[in-house]
Amino acid sequence: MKRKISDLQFFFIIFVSVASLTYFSIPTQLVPKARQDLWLSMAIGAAVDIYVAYILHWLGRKYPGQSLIQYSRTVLGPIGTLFGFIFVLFFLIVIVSAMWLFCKFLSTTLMPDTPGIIFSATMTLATGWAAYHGLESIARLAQFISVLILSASVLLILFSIRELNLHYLLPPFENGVGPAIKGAVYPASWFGICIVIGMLMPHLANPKRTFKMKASAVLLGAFVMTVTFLCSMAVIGPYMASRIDYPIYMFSRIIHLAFFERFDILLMLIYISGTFITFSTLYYGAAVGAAQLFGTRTHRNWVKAFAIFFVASPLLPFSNNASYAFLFFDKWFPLFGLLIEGGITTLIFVAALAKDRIERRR
Amino acid sequence: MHTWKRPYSRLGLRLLKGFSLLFLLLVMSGCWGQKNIDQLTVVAAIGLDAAPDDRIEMSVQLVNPTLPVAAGAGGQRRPFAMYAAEGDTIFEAMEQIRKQAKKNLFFPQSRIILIEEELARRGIEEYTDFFWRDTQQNPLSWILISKQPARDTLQKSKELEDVPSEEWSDFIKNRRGNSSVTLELYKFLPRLDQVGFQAYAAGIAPVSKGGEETMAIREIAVFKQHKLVGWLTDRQAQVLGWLQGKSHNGMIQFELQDRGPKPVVFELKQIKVRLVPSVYRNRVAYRVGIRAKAELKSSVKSLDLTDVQTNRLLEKKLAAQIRESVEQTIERVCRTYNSDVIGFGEALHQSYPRQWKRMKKRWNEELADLDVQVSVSVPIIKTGLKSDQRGLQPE
Repeated sequence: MKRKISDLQFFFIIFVSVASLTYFSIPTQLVPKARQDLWLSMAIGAAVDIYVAYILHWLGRKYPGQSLIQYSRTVLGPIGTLFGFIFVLFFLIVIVSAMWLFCKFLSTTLMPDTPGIIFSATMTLATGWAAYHGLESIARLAQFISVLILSASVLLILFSIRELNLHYLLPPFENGVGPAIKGAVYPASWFGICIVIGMLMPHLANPKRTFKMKASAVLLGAFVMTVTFLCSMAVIGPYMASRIDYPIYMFSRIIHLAFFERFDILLMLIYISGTFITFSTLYYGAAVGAAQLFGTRTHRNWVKAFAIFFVASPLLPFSNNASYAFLFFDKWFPLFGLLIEGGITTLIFVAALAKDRIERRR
Repeated sequence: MHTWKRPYSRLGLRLLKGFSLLFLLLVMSGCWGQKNIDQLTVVAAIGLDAAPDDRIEMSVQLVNPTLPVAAGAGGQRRPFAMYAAEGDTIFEAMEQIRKQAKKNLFFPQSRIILIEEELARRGIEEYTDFFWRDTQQNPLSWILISKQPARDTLQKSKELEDVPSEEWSDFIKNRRGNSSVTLELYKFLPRLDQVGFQAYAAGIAPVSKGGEETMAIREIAVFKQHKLVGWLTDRQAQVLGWLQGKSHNGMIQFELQDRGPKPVVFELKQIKVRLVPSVYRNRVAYRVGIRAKAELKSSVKSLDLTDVQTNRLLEKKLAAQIRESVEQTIERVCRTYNSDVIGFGEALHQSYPRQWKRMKKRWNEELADLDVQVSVSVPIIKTGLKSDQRGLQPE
């Protein structure tokens, strides 16, 4: 018998996926483009994600007990299988690229002498273990890690209040709303990795409330992120924030209260524990998806098989060439991310809707 | 499948597992990147000097941790050590220093970055990149401009605390009796590039008194782009502190003609400055509004402050004095040095982004004849313990 995950656990998994990994993936691209208007990009990103969540919710309710991979096949037949394959591939690519960012970040900031593969290996071991044991263990971990993350983020924001120069956030829309709207592709594509909920829905105790839970989790996550980004910009100024790779890290280095310094440790706590949850969820989604795609009895062998890609992610060819990496995260990732998260899901939705109509007419 | 379903079987194995995980925590204290306290030395200050042939000399002040006397150390060790080396780049100089120090230099706790005046006048553009990139630098270190070679300042100064740069950074942080505000590294670096919000830094110079040198943190160096262009006197520095919103109190003294040659001294508190740009027919004008509360600190002749006339006269004089020194400072900064350390450009950018975009390119010309109206409102609120009533005569 499979255990189901509760609403709150689901909420926390989504919240953590939105508000952890993205601390260092979104601002690098978004801040130089949208600067102090990034709140609008974040809002649009969250809105796009809520739209996708609605679609997945509808599909999940329409095909109860089926995952994203399974119902895309039910709806579209062989094309659906292809889509399923793309989804699994996409999960893998997301993990590999996020893992690459993770290793890159840790080795540039905290531990410059440690080879990146150590980070990816330990992370893969931990997340693989969680994914191997299934969704219930991930959900239980998410429950307490997210409390940790939420309180640490609030602390981070509170400690920065003394250093805030709110006029740094002026003027609004100095180059029009264009940059902020264009910039929305970054939060939209990174938040969009939550399409993994399509894989979780069959395990929900209460699938009726998926949409509500998912939407509120994304809103909370996006809100915490946006406030943190704005605070960091009000502390270090938009000019500096747009000139450095990890403005949030700089921000955490700068804020201090009395004799407490080095809040970057707090940020690391958020980032590493949150990344762990996100990775395990995606890892689980990818492994289960692959198992369903190829008709394997259990996802566990896929967990083992995928591990090698994740461990090797910091060693990817060309990945240490700064210009390729920049192009990937600046152009290709948001483009393909949105095409898959928004485009393919919409296609499946439209097809399912049409099929539904036809069936009803009969 | 789950071990907790059979709680008492293999208890020993589970304990072993738990302990080995705990043991891992000890071993995994940072992999390759781990830094043992005995292998690293904490850098308290970095000094940058100009060397001949466009080279740079870097010096570092290292904290030499002394054991307390009770723990057996006699205190013979120097409280700090200095190393210096030359190089074409900061990085090259640092490699040389590493060879001398033979230990890992630990930068994240550094307090002060000291730049020699000569180097700052030559321009520091080529050296800033190092500080932008290096994640090991402390973004909270204070920038100071040394009027003598930075190496000498770091080497010779004697302060109450063992490590001079810690004394300096405490002094800057407290702002008590300090009229020269300065910037942290993370504020200094971007402002070097911002034409409407230029960088400044406090100066540090020796005050010699019989052999030992005491350092005084005073005056403010004004930067234009990446070059130091001139100094503000202590009084102007104090005004800059107010205009930056960095200091909220200060001293002001002036002479009253009919009260003898010695000045009256006022302490200003709760100073608030508002800098409001306005645009009219493509011309920019600024209003600088200063509000403060003044306390009479000392006066040679007795002043009757209960008298409305006297009080009003004093307030008027005080406001005029403040306005004059503010106008003088703005004049000096904008005309003489032609550098926008006050942030007029940034204020325009924040309120009138379109105007700013148009004026940005010729901002320095605009700055030279900027229309600034200064208004001051300073009520005298408290006059100390002394009673200043009329008719009280010395007995």
